[in-house]
Amino acid sequence: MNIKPKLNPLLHASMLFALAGSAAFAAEPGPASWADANKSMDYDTFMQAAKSSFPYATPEEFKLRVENDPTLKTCNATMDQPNAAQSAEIIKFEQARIQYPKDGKMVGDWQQGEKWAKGTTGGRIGFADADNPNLPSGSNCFACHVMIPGFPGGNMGPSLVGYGKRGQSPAILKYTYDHVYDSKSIVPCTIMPRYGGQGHLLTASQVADIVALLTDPQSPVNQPEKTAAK
Amino acid sequence: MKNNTKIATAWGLTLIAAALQVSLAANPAPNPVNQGNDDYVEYQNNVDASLADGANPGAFTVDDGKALFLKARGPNHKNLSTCDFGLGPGVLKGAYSELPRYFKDTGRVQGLEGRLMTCMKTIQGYSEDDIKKKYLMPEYKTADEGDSTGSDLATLATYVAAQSNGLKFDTKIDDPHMEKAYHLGEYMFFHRWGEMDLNCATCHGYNGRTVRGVPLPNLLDTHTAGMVMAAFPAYVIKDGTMRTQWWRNERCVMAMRLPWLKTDSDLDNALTTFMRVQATKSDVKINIPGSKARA
Repeated sequence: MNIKPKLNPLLHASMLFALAGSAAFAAEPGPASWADANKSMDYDTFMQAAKSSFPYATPEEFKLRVENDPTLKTCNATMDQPNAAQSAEIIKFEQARIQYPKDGKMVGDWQQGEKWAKGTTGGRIGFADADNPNLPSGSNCFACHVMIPGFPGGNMGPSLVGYGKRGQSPAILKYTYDHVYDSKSIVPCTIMPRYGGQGHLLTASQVADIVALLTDPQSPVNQPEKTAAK
Repeated sequence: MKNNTKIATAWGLTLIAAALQVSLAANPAPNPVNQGNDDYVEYQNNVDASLADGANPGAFTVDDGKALFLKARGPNHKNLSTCDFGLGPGVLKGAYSELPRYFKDTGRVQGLEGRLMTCMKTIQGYSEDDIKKKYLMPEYKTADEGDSTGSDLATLATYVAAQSNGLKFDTKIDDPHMEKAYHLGEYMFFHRWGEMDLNCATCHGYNGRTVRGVPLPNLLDTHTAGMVMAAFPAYVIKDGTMRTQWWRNERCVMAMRLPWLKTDSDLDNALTTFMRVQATKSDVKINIPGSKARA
């Protein structure tokens, strides 16, 4: 038997307000949602809790990892649905972040790229299981993408098998490089992480290696399905 | 009848919202509750089946935990039998099912690990520094690295949690402290941050998502939330040892490349509160030790 009446949100809010003065009040939370979260809590209060919850972070780690940059602030505030003006602002900000390899070549070594793409470690800090900061980071592309026929991948991003059919024109290479280095320079609030630059996992030359993995005709990403392992 | 109309209206709005999402959003809205998370449920049932019928090594930890709980330790040479987990000193039955809750003596919302550490200090006389060295900055290794040593805290937590076996979770949002913890937790669940730009919902707010082909639990699906919450402290096969809810929270926080999450910190307790409230809406019964393949 359900004794607690289901209230509509507006009524619920006003009831809460009315009851706030009394000692006991029972507020049964409604279904969880991003909208409810943003309505019921604010960034500054949350950051205060974060300060005491991450006491072992250096001020630099806190700034780079915990605080939101302008892009994530907008994505969080709009629940990943920035309007046209906000989108343009994000794309401008993110494009300016992108750094290219010193030699100007956006295509590196696909074998190295495969290593970074499969690597699951790097960038984890703290105590148990923290990574050696002197080793290069992997980007764990396979967590979200199927990339090589027969090698398990996740489904949060699209399959990249056969990506190389787009060719290796300068435009495709730049698009690919930019998307790996800074996906939000192309799709403002995409769920795909930004991988390049300070506060993220990969160096410019590692990104170029992943571009090679995706576009080189010799790369396992671009071999026909029949090579797939069972 | 009135309810049916409401549901129909809600579905109508959901459908309209869903249609809008397709055209407007880069990312779909997370699933509403109770829509089923079948791939994960099947996957997890197989993991559970592999350790069924007394084959879960975590059962030994329940006994070890009892012995440790009743052992006189610390500067005060006392055991933990008078520890208050919210139902009064020494009351263990059902205590875990209502955590986290607000504790007047510490003035904080706390969960099981936090409460154990509080009692180690107040009853057994351990210093803040002892606790910090032993539990807050742990240098344990994984089984892969050849060391599957668990922590005392997980052993004790396993024993206390198992005293709620067979009960449903009943975490109550019944005062302003709990309300704040819930909303902090809900905000944390949806907040994008860290080097990976992720929020918890990216991986745990949708049905059917996988990482490297492994199905992920959707914590917004209340049944799935119940399954996950009711399993911790769980025997983690990869690590060969028992891990607590804090550990589970920290695994994701670490993968998001956030800093180390302090056990019993406000966000640790808030996130657990949020997820336990989801679990409280399900019928799943606590079953400690649960089993987990990797995390």
